[in-house]
Amino acid sequence: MTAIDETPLNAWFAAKGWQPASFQKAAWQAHARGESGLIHSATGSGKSLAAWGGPLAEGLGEVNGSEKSRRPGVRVLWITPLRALAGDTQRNLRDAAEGVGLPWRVETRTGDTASSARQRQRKNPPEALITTPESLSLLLSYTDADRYFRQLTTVIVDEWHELLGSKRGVQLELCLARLRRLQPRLRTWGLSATLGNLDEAMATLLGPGAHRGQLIEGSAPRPLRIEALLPEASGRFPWAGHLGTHLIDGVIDHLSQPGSCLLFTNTRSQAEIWFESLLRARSDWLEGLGLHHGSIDRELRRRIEAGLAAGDFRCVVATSSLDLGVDFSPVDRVIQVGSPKGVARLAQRAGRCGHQPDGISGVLCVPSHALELVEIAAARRAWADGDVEARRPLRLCLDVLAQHLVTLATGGGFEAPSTLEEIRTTHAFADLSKEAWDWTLTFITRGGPVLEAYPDFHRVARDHQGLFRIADRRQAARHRMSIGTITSDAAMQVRYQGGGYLGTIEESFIVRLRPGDVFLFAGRSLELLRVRDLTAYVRRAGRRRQAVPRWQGGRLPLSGMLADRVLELLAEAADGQYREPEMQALRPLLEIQRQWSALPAPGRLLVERTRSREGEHLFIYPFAGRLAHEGLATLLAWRLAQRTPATFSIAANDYGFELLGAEMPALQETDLRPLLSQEGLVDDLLSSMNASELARRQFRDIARIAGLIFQGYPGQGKSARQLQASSGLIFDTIARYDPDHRLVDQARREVLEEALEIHRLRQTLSHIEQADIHLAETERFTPLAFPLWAERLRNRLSSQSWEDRVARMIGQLEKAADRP
Amino acid sequence: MSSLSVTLGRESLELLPEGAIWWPSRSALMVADLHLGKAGVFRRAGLAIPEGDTRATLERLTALIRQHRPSRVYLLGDIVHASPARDPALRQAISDWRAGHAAVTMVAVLGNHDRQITALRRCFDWQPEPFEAGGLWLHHHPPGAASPQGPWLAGHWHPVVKLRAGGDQLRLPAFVMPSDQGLILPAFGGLTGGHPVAPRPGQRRYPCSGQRVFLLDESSGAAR
Repeated sequence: MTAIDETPLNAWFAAKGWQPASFQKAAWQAHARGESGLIHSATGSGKSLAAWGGPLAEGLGEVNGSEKSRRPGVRVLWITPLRALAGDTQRNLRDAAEGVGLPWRVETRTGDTASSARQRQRKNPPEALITTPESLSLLLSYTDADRYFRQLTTVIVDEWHELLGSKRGVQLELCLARLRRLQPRLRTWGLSATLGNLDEAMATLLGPGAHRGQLIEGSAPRPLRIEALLPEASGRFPWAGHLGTHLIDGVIDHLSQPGSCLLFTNTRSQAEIWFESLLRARSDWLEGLGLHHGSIDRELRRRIEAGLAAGDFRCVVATSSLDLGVDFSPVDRVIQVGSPKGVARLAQRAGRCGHQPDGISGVLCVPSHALELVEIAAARRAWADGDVEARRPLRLCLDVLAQHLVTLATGGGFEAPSTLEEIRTTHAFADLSKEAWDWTLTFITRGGPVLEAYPDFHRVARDHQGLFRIADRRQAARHRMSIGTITSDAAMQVRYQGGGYLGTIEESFIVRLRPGDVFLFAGRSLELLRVRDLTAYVRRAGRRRQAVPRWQGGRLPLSGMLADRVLELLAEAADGQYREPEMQALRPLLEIQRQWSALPAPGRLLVERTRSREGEHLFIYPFAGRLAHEGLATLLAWRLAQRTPATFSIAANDYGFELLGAEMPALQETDLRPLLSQEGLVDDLLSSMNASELARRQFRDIARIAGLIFQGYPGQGKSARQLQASSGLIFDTIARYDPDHRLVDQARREVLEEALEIHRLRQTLSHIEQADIHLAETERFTPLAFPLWAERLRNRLSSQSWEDRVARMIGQLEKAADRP
Repeated sequence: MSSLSVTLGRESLELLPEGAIWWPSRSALMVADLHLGKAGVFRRAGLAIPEGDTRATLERLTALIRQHRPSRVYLLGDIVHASPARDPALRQAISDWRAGHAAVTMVAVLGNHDRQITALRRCFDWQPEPFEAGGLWLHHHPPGAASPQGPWLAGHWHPVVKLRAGGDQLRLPAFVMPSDQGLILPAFGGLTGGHPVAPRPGQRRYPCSGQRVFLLDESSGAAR
């Protein structure tokens, strides 16, 4: 495996009218040398061929060489994060294989693959298999996995940045460790968009113990034009809000130009609203408008993707469901509605835009309220400086480990000591303690260490050779059903009464509706008829008044990097410097902020106090993102209430937070310092938030992944009913009868790390300790305060007793009911 | 601890904060939906749910029996979650518990989960629904609009109410009176979950917090 013959590749490139880029050649040669690595570059720059070329050249050498080539078995595994991408990838890889004259079969194996095709693939594996992390895990759960992967030489992980930082990424790390054990010379290549922590991303993919891989940088990042849709000179921006539809006229002007457009929103509900608003404004565009988000039926989505590629659409309104899919269907224009939230995300979305005549891809940002203009300017600056966010990989997820061990037990079985060694070669479990390992083994074999608590439990058992194997075929079948549930939320199907599938929707939304209620979904106005067996039956509704489903996932906080840039721009504004057009448009508003109070800046924490009819408001602006602010607000309210019993309302956004109370003690800098200190942070946070309630909610995913919830077989809704219990109930039962359960512990840890962003919170507090505190008493809500005041989702933190809370809530409910 | 009195038919009943009913004129306790042995059903299916709930549920019932000293206990269906035939430990736990209260008459209305209960034949006086006692009709499944026989009690729904106000929210088990003629009990078992009951005209819901019972809906004209 030293030199490869690049002639066929070069010839095929030439026939296409291309020329191999130097990074592509570098990747081919590194592959030929038997190395692993990570290729990163902007979207659409030919990463796929950089990774695919090496195995192709090697395959050609084999075909022309020994009889070894005729041995059946998968040579190359191509992992894609989204099964929707598998089809396009297959086409591209197949084209290249045919182009160089390699008679390889390139097939896909995802949840969509028909069982007949799966059977055939198992008997007669294709040389290249495109699959998802879940389907790879499933392949490892068959007893012939080692035979199946005997010829494997290379694994290519597409869009690794999408998997990094998620439990699916951890699942893939574990599968790769298994494959490396079967195939010690296995090469792993990752493809990634630009990230702030590429070295860590590569180390996570290759395993920390591996030799350093090759980090190959693709073509220089394409220039990116980030523009904002500014209002007419006379037009005014709303100070708060989240829809941005006030700028719809400007968007429609933009869309009136020829060519196709992708309009990205941050949440599915925004997507639904924008789709409806565009349709209402321009009903003549009916045929040319599409809606694409993760809840919409796959077939419908596919049709929209195909239509987009064919140029049938003027505009497709989309969420992150279309963030991926690098190599297919570039559009002429990209619009981002609402805060970009992060530079990496904005750049990726902009990358969906094909080359414009000047060779620059551009994105038009539509702010949903005034202050988002700063974020747009901040994103442009960060991009120009080459700053991109990092994505941190997860560690020690015992739920994923438990699932993986059951997978191995369902496959050929596993032996404990060598498997522990294998698990520890992954980044996620490099520091796995013997105790945690033993606990996980106990969990899958006996239920838990409290023996008397788990009679009659059988899932995995040790056979006479000491191998851990699945207890019986029923358990094996059930486990295979549950692999691949890492991402899925409790989803309900939405169907027409007379048949016809529309998509899936979070259960939490449907349960709040009653039959007869009308809601907006998949761009249609639907009336809920009834809910049965995890299916919501609907019919088309004529009525206008609608609820819009709120999906989780729309609460992504502003990235720390972007937040720092926002602060930098505000500091410049404080000095009277308004360079960017967005900042100039915002100038009148920021001047008001400066006159009424002050502008925040790095090293200066702005605190505002205002009195209104509602009570005393305290606004603090640390610019640390919504999640950290929620935590900080709760912490501060709790610490205040420790001094004097009180009840506070809390609101938070990406810039700061608000506490509202009937009375607020006098707070000078000397009072604020201890309230914002890092001392006792974790303890105070846990006692202040309804931590157990949060952990209980977090447990939902953990229970699903670790196999504590029965998923049921398709179409078996009824007979499975006996085994249904909510994850909350399971959490309560475990917490009560097996209090040292490590998965309960993990739920608490995940709440701190993910729901509260404890690292960012801690960092923010340490910045505050260094910062000057600027206190301002304001007569009215300032431009920074107003969006917080308008934030409708208010939390309440109370030091009242539980019984009083119930009595108060009932009192409020009755008051509400009395109203005419 | 504070309970709340309601009138059903001609009988005065006390709704207890533990989710049970005390019926003074007959010296009777009523509970519904114990679902004993549920965790075991999960474990035999390969889900690692720890045991403890069956014993805890029976202990809570024991505490109520000690406190109220009833001569009768009425169990309104779904005493076990699945047939005790496959669960010797469950059979043992239930018979031991029953032996500890030998002086109390226990009537169990058959619920949809109480199948193949031969092993528990002697523990309870099993009766098909509806079972008449002192002018009230005991069901497991709440009868439709109105019971043809007269005022009724039932379980099966596992009613809970969701309270939400000012960003605060709670979910509590509840008694539900769909009308003056019927009363549905919350599930008494610990591992039972619940079915949210929305407000409706003429219906009253009584959430219980373990310490207190509250009346949630004022129903005009309803007897208090």
